[in-house]
Amino acid sequence: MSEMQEPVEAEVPGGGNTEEKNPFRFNGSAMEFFRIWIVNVGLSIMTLGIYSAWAKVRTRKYFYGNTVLEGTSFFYDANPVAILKGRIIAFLLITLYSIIMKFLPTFSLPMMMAVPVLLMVVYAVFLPWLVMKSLRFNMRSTSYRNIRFGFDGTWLDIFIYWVVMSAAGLFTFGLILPFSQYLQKKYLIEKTRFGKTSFSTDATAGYFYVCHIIAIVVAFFIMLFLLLITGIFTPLLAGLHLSPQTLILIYYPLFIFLSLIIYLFIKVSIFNYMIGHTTLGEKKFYSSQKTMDVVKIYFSNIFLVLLSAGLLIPWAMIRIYRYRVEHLSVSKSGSLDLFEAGEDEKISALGEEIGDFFEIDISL
Amino acid sequence: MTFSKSTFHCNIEGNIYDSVVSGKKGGTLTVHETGEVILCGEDGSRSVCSSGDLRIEPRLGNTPRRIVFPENIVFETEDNDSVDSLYILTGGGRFSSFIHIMESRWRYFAAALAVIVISVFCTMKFAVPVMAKTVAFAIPPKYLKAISVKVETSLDSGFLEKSGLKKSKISRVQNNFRFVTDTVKKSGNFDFRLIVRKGGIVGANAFALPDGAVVITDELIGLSGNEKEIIAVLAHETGHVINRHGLRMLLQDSVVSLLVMFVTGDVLSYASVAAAFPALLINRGYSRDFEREADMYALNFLKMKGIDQVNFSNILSRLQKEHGASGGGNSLLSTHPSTKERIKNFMKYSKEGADNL
Repeated sequence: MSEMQEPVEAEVPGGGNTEEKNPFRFNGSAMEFFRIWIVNVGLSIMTLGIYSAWAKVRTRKYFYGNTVLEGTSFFYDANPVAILKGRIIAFLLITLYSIIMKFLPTFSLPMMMAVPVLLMVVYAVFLPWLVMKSLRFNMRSTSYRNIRFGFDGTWLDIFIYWVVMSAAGLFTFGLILPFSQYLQKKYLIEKTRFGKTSFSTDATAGYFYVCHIIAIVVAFFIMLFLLLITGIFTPLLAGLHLSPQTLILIYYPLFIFLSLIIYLFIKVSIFNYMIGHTTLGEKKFYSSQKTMDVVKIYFSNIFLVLLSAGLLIPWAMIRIYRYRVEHLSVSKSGSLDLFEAGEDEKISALGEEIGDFFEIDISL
Repeated sequence: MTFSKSTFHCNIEGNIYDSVVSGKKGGTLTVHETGEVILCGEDGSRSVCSSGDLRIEPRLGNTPRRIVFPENIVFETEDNDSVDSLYILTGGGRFSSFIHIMESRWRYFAAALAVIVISVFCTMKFAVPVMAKTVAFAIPPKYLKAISVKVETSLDSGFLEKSGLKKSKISRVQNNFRFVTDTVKKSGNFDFRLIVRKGGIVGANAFALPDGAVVITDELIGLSGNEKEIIAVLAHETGHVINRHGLRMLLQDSVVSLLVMFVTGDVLSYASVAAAFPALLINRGYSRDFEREADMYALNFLKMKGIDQVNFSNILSRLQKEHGASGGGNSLLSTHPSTKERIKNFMKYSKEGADNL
């Protein structure tokens, strides 16, 4: 049970811990990024999307370049041309897909049945490949102190942890899902390396189950509470002639709001836990995000972005990124000076960009 | 930093990282007027190369700048301005310098912002309606049944009540509707049917649903002076149906929501798009162009049947008086083209029509 107490300790910022920490810092400014973002979008429109590859690299470069640990910033140097090629191929694939779907009704009946199944199989095989390529490309493009990061995951492992385990989740009524989530995250950490040195983790699956159980219990009591409230107020509101539609209109946003809080609770707790159980050589990592802080940032971001017709997107991006970075730290003990560089390798951006199109978001 | 203009010469402070191990050491980069660049580490290490062999990263905001020496030795500094001078000296990337200039000056920012605003506006104003029209006409009306049924139930439970009119009165209005729709029945696959309801809060009103259903309220029937006026109103609503305005409006609004969702990532709001249709129909009404199109349809119909077009302007002005008193918008009496303007157009058109006859 010790693994359940450690993240709680890590949540006390700076105090209470005997371990001294070096925090990550973020030096970016919303004003500066605002201009970069506007130029990115403007040029992307004027070049009919071609510039978007450069825009993407510049955005990531800006965020990484302003992320500082022990006096050195991170660096991102993907080649935009490679990304552009990936985007063009992704675009062609999507076009091919929509053409197939358009002609689907003209096929014979067995073909009509076979095509979706075939596509699902292709997707199940293709997806792990995309994930692998995407992670490799992103890690390789990131460096710190002139040492590149790397990802060594293989297609088969990713296929087992993501596709097979998710399918297994269906047959076990979801009971296995926290466990597969744990395996996925553990896998991502252990296959990531800084130069030659791999990250390692001593996290266990127990915490994942605890988180999900807490979430389910809380959700249950909230539902109960809502039902109770409805029971109490319905007679009072009867005089107002509220139609069922109006009641749904009131409950629907409330329901979404609460689900998002629970979702963020799981996400934040597990992130803190996994980071808190990750080491690189002698360096230990910590993350001290708080669910309610993240909830506040998310909701005010959504609200202000909508209110500003999207103009505050760059500001919102900076805000959430800054929060995440500034709640990360590493132990003071151990040195960052002795990590050796890995072998140089060239990897195409293909997987990453296709992955982006299909909205694959794999992260801790 | 020391810097002299006549012969380029500068010292830049920063950190050195070799490509073997993650260690960090302080260092100074010196550029001589000969073009020779010397990198001195605090540990006494020295790298020498010609300025042409350096790879200087383009500037991005105030992020630390990297200068890469041969053998992949990296010199990193926060002294961006000095590196900029060196960058120009080595003739490095005009394109990337230009991008940085764009990102750091407000006038380029304003230009980019203008490009964004104009393109979004043009997309919404011109591209989206055309796309919505194409899609709307590609969908056979029988597939619109589901949408209409949903809207109908929603209208019934939220706004409308059972009609309080006499059976004979209703069947007369039904006959009028059949008269209006009989001519189009052969051309389209619409399931034309008239729904008579008590308007309640929406008052004297009429709506057209995508599959051919038309709703008319008791109040509007009561407001009409004669059956010809009702025929004019029903012809107007039929104009909405055959031009597929309902579906087009729904699609256009979906695109807007889609764009908003795309930008914000707020996918949850998608579910509310279709559900919002009844409210949309009542609160906002159709666009100016849609109303004009429907007016034109009604007008042509009346002309074809030899009914005086003044009937339509009569009921419109009476509707305006009615709604002017109670306030609020309504779908037949859309807020966009003012009723006065529409009546004027009518008069003009019917006069021209008379001349042509």
